[in-house]
Amino acid sequence: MTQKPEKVKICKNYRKKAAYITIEGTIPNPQTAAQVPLRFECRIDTGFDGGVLVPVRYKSDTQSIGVRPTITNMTLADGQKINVYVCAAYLQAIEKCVFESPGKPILLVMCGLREGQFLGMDALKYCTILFDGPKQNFTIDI
Amino acid sequence: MPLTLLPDQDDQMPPEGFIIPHWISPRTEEQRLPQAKLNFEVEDYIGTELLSRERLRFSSETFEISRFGFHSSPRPWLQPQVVAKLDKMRRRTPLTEKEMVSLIDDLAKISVEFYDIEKGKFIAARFDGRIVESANTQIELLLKIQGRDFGVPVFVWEAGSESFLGWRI
Repeated sequence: MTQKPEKVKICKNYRKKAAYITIEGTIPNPQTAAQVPLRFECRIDTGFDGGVLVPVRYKSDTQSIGVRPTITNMTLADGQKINVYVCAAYLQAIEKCVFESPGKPILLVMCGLREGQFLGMDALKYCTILFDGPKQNFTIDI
Repeated sequence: MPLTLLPDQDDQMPPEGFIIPHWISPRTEEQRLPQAKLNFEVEDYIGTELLSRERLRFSSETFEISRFGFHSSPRPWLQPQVVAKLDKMRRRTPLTEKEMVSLIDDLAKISVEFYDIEKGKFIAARFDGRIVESANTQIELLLKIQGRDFGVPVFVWEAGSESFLGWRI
């Protein structure tokens, strides 16, 4: 009989007027079992429907393990269409909450030169977040 | 395979005066059958791409019919205008955006009809119309094709959708 994992509740304050959380994950190559570890602090972006958005420099990391990302296009908030690289990745941890191996599959979007990562709705579907704007904090239930 | 009764090791030779019907003795049956062999000419099977080790063998000695096999799975028939665009791509002549979009659109429709793919399924198809992988979600499909080398570019498409999701070189 499997034991149901305990629910984790995390409370955090806003930083620079935005919600940031630390995530861990990997970009896998299922053919060779090679993987690129990912660990960064992401800004939560509920207007982004992908998983995690990272700078395009991560493309070389994926190519180093033999993964060639797919080229697709994405529409920005201003309606502009841009070409981006996408591949599948596993989300393994949000803050201190670790998911069962290999993790939750998410869409990793690589675009832009600007440093900074965004966590979109495709990754946020694995948890419940309550934002409190006036108090400048948020609560994550996983 | 015909149903036969195999004699025991000790009973190889029947007693004198005992007649074994020909249908229960494989040896007798073999003797009665003509020793003719069916020889195929190369032109007979070249069109079906039969594997050499799996060519149909008719022989009274073996009574064996091997299975048919193909070197590769069948691919859909492509219209001349699609083939012309693919030839243009092979010659490294750049296609216009309109030509490329119509090419992928045609290929996606041909593949989905040929392989009878359900609407909403995500497919990865080669530019010759052959579907290399399919899945229920985009991430599942990306995980399946991640790290695999198909030798040629593949494009990702959601069956029934008006626009394709992307391509991989």
